[in-house]
Amino acid sequence: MYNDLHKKLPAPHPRSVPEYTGPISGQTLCGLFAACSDFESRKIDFGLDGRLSLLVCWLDGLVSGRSVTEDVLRPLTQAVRADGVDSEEVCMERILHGAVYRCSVHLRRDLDSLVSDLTHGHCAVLFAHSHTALTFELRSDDARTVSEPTLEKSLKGAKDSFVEVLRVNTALVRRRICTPRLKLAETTVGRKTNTRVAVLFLEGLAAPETVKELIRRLNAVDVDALLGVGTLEEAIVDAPLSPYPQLLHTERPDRFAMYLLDGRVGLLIDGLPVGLVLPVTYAEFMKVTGDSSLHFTVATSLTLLRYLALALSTLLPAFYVAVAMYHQEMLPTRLLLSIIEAEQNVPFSTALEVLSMLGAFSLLQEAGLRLPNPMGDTVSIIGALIVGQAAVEAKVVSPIAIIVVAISGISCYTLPSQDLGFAVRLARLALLLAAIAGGLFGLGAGCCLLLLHLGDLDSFGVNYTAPLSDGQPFGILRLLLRPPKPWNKFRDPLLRTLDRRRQK
Amino acid sequence: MKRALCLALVPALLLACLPLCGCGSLYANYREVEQLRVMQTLGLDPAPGGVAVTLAAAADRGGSASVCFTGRGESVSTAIEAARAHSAEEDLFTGHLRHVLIGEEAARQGLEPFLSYICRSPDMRMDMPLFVLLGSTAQEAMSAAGDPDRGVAEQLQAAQTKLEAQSGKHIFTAAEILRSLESSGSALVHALRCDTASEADGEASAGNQGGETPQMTVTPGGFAVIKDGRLCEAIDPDAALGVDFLINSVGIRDLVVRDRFGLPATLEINRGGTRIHPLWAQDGSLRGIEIYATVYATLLETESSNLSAVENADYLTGQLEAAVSDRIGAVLWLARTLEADFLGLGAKVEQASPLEYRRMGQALGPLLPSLELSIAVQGELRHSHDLE
Repeated sequence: MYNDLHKKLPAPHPRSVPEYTGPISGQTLCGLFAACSDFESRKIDFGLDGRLSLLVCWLDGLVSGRSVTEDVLRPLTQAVRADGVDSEEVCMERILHGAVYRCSVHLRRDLDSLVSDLTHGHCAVLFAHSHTALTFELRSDDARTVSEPTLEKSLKGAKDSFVEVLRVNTALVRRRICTPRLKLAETTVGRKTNTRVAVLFLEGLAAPETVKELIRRLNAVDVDALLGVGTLEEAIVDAPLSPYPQLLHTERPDRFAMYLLDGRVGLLIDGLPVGLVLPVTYAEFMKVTGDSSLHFTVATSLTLLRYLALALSTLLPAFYVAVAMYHQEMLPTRLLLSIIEAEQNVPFSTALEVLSMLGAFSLLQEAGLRLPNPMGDTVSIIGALIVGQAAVEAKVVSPIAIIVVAISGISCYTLPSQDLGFAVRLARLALLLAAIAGGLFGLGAGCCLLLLHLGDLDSFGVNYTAPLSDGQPFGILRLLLRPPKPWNKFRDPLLRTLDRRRQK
Repeated sequence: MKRALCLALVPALLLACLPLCGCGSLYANYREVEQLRVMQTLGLDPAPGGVAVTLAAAADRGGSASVCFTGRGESVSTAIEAARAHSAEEDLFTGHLRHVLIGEEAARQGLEPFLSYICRSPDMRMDMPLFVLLGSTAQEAMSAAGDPDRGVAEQLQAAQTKLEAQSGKHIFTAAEILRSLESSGSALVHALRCDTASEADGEASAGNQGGETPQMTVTPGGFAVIKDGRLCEAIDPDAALGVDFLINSVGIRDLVVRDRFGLPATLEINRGGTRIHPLWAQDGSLRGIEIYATVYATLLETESSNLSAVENADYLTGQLEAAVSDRIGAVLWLARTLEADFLGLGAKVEQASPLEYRRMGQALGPLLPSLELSIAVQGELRHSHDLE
């Protein structure tokens, strides 16, 4: 059922666990963090009585200096706390029982976990003789606050979005799903970055085999760094060579929670303001969060419109080229006469015209995205209006080709998922080349291959083209229609949830 | 490995299927759209030793007159190829032909070669309307009828629209003609006439007589009757109403009758049709056919002002029934004379009494002269907006 690519290929140089070995000591730690100018350490006398000396270490910037001073250094140097402390063990016991004002404290006996704590914003107190350390989470609060989502805007929905701090993100989800059944399994990915990744799922709802498989794949990931979604996505999906997205990205905690309640499994990565959801199908990329807030007739109409846009975006340039080059009989006479008239003085062939226009459109799109907002808009407007108009007037391209490419491009913008949009652009180009080579036969063959590829894709045991391919009746209706909420009693059977009933 | 093999097999199968789509090679059908000259009308005439073909393009929006290309050859295909040779720069594109126009002489010599070409050529469509041009050759009409504003294709389209309005949207296509010829040995084809502009437009263009070439206009001209593949008789536009009733394809058309005082009254026929009742003899042979026609019309114009509504309506209804009966009778008489079932009466008899018709074992056409034919028309004058 699952792609066993990961099983068959052993890692070329498996990660050594633990990465850092040796006794916990100030010398070892200073050696590890040599030439790290943000590494801070301070030797203090516990209770200022000279009997016991401790080494406090932290990474400046990751840890709040004020918290180190107020919550660690101050209590440790108060004489009253040192009363009766004559050994490191007693001192440690006292700290563990509340001598330091932090909510969480961890006892570390190995260097690897100590280094991990330090690099994740902890402050460590080292005990030289017993080669142990106590760590306190004192992470700096200098992070972006929760703000409105930038890509997935909603009129009626919640206005918060994920931020770069994992714990804030998990809290945003937990605020919506207030049940202990919401489970978080954390793991670390990245040899150098040690990025924390949280797997979220609802116990008793999500398919256990999906969770298990996801964790297995996460543990198998052996990369230097996890700084972007793509690294993880390409490492854990079933078909990494496919341009079609196989993990759904969302920046909205409410949408993320909705998917968890559907029985899916979520992923949150420390440092990234997006949540990933799996398993997903093609249909999920055509849905918008706002659909659930709209009346079912409106939501269904919008879904139909999006599918129409998808068809136009993928097929229109290829269909136009095929018909204009090979199958002129298919066009209505008046339209054919208009096309001939428009193409009359254009020096390039229809194929070259459409290819060049698609290229120009993509260039403008990229330029608009990469430039700062006001400049990007200007470039788009100049490109679309002035250059397009000039090209038509100079008879370099025909107006029909511009209309076809523009409709196709604008239709692509209506797709809710940007990842799907990129894949559609690639498919459009491939189909266009097929249509140039073989007309409608080429286009048909290209569509067959595309469907074959999509049908071949799986996302954690769920076919990518479901519900069209799940063998259940009315697949096309389930794909296109959003039923009224009271009728939507059951969860999708494809997800193999443990509890299928959604409501009474 | 098995999966990769499957994935590789699909493109291979698709490539293997390429010849099935009718293309000899990938580029067999390739042509740049701007090099096409879209031909909309195909004219067919006899020529010494073969066929003369005239192809007419649509009128150019730039204001130049529609262009005609002619070619001669032993067959329609070779004649079209000869016409193509006249256009070196542009490819004469016959995939958008809208009308086929057959000259009277060509129709008298026989439609079969033309119908055969239409059936077999990949450029032709079987649902293409086919017209017989009475009193002229197709080449003559197509050359003279085009002008910068309205090419022959536009004129034919206008004539077709008028015919469709009169005959309930029904225009005989090549497929229907072939089917009728196959089943009964005779068929009906819409006929057109080519008039000079002054004849067609009346007084409006009467002053425009000094031109070097008379402007021609194509107008509806009733029906042409095809028997044994050849044109044998024409039905004038007035009697064509009878055909429309008998083939149950009555559109909207005006009919002028006389009222009680002999003044003209214009009726608009809205709807009508016929149903037939075959009469069988004791020995199983067909004895006769009773034809029941119904007609619904509206009074459009009348010059009478002192008529009572009821009397006038009754009288006009009678006139309407008589006019329709006359026209149906005229067409039936022609069918009897020609011994040709071009009206499809045999099929209707078969529909009404399938077992008896099958037992009869012969076509209806030769039997027509010996059959008792009776016509009963029931008319109704509706929505006449009587002023009284």
